[in-house]
Amino acid sequence: MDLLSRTEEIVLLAVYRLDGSAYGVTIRSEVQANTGINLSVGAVYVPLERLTRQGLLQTRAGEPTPERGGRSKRYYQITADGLAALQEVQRLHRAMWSNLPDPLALPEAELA
Amino acid sequence: MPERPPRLAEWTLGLLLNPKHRETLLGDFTEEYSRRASQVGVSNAKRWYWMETIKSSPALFHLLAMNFNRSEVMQKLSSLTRQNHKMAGLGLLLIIPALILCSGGLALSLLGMNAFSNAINFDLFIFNPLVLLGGLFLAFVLNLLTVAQVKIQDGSLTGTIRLRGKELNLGLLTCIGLLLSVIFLYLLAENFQIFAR
Repeated sequence: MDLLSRTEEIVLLAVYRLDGSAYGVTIRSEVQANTGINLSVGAVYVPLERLTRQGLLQTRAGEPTPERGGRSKRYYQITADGLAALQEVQRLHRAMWSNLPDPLALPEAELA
Repeated sequence: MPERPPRLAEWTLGLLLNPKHRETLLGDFTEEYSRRASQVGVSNAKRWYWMETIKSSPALFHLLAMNFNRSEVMQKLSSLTRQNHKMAGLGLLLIIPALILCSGGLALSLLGMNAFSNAINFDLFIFNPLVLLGGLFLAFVLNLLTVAQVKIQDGSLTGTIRLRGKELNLGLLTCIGLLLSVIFLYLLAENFQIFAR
């Protein structure tokens, strides 16, 4: 399995957290609320397209609403492969951080 | 009734979107715009819409590239090159400035007719060398595409020239060849003083 990029990981996690109510606007808000990263409306769709192509996400058409000018939404849902990819990322993070001292506790000189 | 986003910005955005994402992305923009318009005012929301369109454009180009369908483009191109008469007509329009210029020059050099050459207003933009040569080049390429076909198959490059029903295009290609020869000869003569005057 290919490693996820940082943006892909964040977007995939946002979709997972939103649990069925994930579409462009909510994904953007979720990312901003949790990370402070302000992705542009278009920028969310690049990782979403890539993750969908890799089979880590699946989409379904939503209902058109008046505040969207009568245009429909596209909802994103994580797949079993997507969940496995997230578990793999988490496992890697844990493995790489294990047996290391807390970086915040290190003196400045050691960090440089 | 929700506020409608700025039309020009929406139109610009529509140009950058591929059909697959058009509905969803325009919907996202409109939803966010409506929310902002009701919270912070319409002018602020309009400014946001424009800024966000600009900010999103690199990602939208990326999406366009990701969904670029080569065979669809080739299909459109091949249907274009099947329109023999249209290509010949368009080519003829493109070479008109060169035809006028060369006819005037030839009339003056060969027949000593000043009137025709004097009647041409050389200040017109169509007689700009860039427009003139660009038109010739474009007309040449458009008509060459209808006549010649190059294929790469099994690692070998094959070229085919189709002549049946392509008389107009072949005629135009010959005409462009002659015009280019006249221009080339003129430039040679002028630059190297080949013919004493």
